[in-house]
Amino acid sequence: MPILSVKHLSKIYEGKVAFQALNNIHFAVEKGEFVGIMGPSGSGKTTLLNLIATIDQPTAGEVIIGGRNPHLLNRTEMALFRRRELGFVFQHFNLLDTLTVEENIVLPLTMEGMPLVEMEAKLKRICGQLAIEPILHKRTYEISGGQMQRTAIARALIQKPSLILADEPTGNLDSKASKDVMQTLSAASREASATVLMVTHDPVAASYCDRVLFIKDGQLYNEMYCGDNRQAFFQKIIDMLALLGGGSHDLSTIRF
Amino acid sequence: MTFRQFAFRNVLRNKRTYAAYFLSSAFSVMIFFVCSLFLFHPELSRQMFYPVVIQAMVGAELIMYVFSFFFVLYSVGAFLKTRKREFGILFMHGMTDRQFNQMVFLENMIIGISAIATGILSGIITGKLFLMAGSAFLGVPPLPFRLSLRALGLTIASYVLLFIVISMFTSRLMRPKALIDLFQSGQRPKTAPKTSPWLSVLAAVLLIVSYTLAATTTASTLALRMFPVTLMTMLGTYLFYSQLGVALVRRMKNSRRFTWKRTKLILLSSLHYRLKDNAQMFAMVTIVLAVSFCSVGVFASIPVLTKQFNEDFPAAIGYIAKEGNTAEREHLQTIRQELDERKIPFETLSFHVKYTEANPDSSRSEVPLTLLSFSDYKEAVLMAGLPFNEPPLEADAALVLVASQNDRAYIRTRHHVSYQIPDTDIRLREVGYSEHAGVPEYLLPKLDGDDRFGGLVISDDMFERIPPSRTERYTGFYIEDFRQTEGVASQLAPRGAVRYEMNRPYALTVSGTLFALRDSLYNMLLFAALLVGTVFFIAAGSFLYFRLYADLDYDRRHYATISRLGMTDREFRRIVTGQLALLFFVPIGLAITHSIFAFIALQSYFYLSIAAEMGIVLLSFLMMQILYFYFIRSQYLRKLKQTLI
Repeated sequence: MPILSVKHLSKIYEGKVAFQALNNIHFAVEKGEFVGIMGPSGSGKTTLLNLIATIDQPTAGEVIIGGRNPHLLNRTEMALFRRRELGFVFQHFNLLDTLTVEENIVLPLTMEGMPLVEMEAKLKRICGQLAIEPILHKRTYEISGGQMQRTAIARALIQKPSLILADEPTGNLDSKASKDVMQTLSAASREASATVLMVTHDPVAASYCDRVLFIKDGQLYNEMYCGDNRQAFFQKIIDMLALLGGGSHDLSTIRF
Repeated sequence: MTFRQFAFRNVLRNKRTYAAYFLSSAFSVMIFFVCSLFLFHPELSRQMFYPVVIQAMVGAELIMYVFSFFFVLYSVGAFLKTRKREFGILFMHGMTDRQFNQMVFLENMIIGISAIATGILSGIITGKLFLMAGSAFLGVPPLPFRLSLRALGLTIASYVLLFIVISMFTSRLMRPKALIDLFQSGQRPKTAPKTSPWLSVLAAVLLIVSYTLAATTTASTLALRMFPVTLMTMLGTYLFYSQLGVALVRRMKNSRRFTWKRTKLILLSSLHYRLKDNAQMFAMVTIVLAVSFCSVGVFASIPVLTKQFNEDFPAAIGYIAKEGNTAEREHLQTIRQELDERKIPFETLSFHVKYTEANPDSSRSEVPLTLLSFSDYKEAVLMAGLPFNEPPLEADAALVLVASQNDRAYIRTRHHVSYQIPDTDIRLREVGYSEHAGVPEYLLPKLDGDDRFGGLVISDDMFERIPPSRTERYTGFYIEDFRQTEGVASQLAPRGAVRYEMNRPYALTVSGTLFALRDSLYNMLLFAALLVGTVFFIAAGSFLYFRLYADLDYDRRHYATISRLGMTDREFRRIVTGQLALLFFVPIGLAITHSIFAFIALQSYFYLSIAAEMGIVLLSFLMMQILYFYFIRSQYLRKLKQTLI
């Protein structure tokens, strides 16, 4: 059974001019899979992620995560669902700058009211995995962007959620930090056999995925599997982006 | 868009930030204007107690004006700090310093002038209400509303001057050094607050010492201690927040067992993070609140003095005919006649008061003594309808007459004296203090220059034996309800009393007139203190409001982040309520503690308990703060909720 299945999902933004952001999106993600979502600006990637993250409500269709439809829950249950079943990694890290690194990581556990000993054990394990012990007592402004994103990944992983949602995790990082963060994310998700859904613009980041979905104008356009050769996968992604337009090179969709 | 329009729109579109400051300024203007309405009221100026009104209202206006000055200065500075990014953009597009100054000046004047206009307008609308309240306090028939141009002129002139001076000040203060500072402000993450253990200890010591000094104050040390204790408390308060508070929260935060529990982590770290930023504001709010509580408290307690009026003035009318007074008979006749005309039944009592010179044991020089016989004293007390149960005096024993019951507070610091009457073998020995005043205050000369105590009561036997240097006659008129005597003998004693020390052939007290005068004085002072106290209280509220709204954008991001990670509405409300409660109730809590110790010190000055009055004052302020808290909380939750998922 897939951990995430998105069934005929549509989203229309009402307004003076109604705008269809998503149109009949249908796909499924298996447990332990690392899936990327790519597409030109305005294609509806972030809308899709927001719908799955329960941050936004779909107009039609449904999202099933771990056998439950979170959109049918009430506000409180939905909040608890996000806390327990979902992990988030954002482009702007979204760390609380009033907290230290370790406090940021254990925040979801604290909100749950977990016993201290258990929290410390989990913290210790996750830190070993992500190699962030030296910065645990630092404040968020004392560490680099890559370290911040690793902290955010630790925070997303510590609850062992069913699904980790990443929104442009490398968008604010230089190339070295990007590579570092992507390696961490893919290794950590493999180790914890966590399922990851990542929205990205960055073909390098996308090449770490097992599978990449391409969206254009709110519709699923194509799908690609990594296979054995990451280099070849990267090239295929670049070609696909060129075909889609927008993307990283902003090439014309019409090729002569 | 002209430059003036630009400045105008800046203000209009920042109205959320400016709201509390504007309202608070307008309120100060209004109260200032209302006070001047009293000051320049044509009918009030003909009243007997007009000097009292002048005293109270001029005092209130001065305090309010000085306070407004600092309030506006601080607020304007704080607002400009939150708009640094905006100024950065303007400077980047080539705004000159001159234009910047002009803009800040214009903006301030727009707010200032509209605050003045609003204040005066609401003053005119509500003026009649305040006049009615004021006349109720004074116990006169309701005063008609008279819009005096002088009141209007005074208010407008003083506040326009205030805003001009401050506007010129602040634009100069704000001039930035480098553009990059403007852009990076607000973005730059704040560093963790630093504290020094010595300063923390100093904060604790300052507060403990001030509290101890306040609690152990006696009536005689009150004046001496008041000023240094106030200063120490103010400094202690500031250090309490900026040092001790931060250190305490840090201690708490370092205990994971305590902190890592549900929403406490978020609450405590925000508190820790903001405490130093807010220390100045917290200290200011605490001090302003404490001043407000104390001023209202002091003036609410003074009317306690009138409760014992009957004790201090046992005779409704008291008359002393000094030696060589030829008009005694005539004066007493006038009083009798006036009482008869008003159909007030009365009884009279007359006795002699003896004066002599005596040598106290402690010094060689002779001092004058005033002597009353025990049976005369007893009769005077009984005539006044007061209970009498003092045992008769031994041969050489003497009781010191307390001038008024409130002066009993000074008994502790006075030692008993023995006297030798020269050229005789008679000795007098003070053994205690009289329970009653015997004769009204002001009628007898004071004992040995100490105006807390009157004469000596001695046994009848001794009274006969002592050769007087002179003898004077006391006559008391005793009436069921002394208040009826208001205005009696106004020819002889226009303001209710002719003191013994005044160079007149007689001394006279008329209780009714004195009581009415005192009552109106105390009530007027209380009225003025209530007005000023409210202005302070509202200003403190405006500081809190501003602090909250300056951080609103930051808080929005903060809570939006947490809510993405999964925060239920209940948890959200709990965190926000916790934070607001700290902001609202920590300063008022400390202010109440300060005030309680101030009131303990004040109690030493009073004979009767002022606990009930103080309780009412503090409770009503606390109630207002609770209402304000709930109001702001609902607004703030609503504002933040818009950004939640």
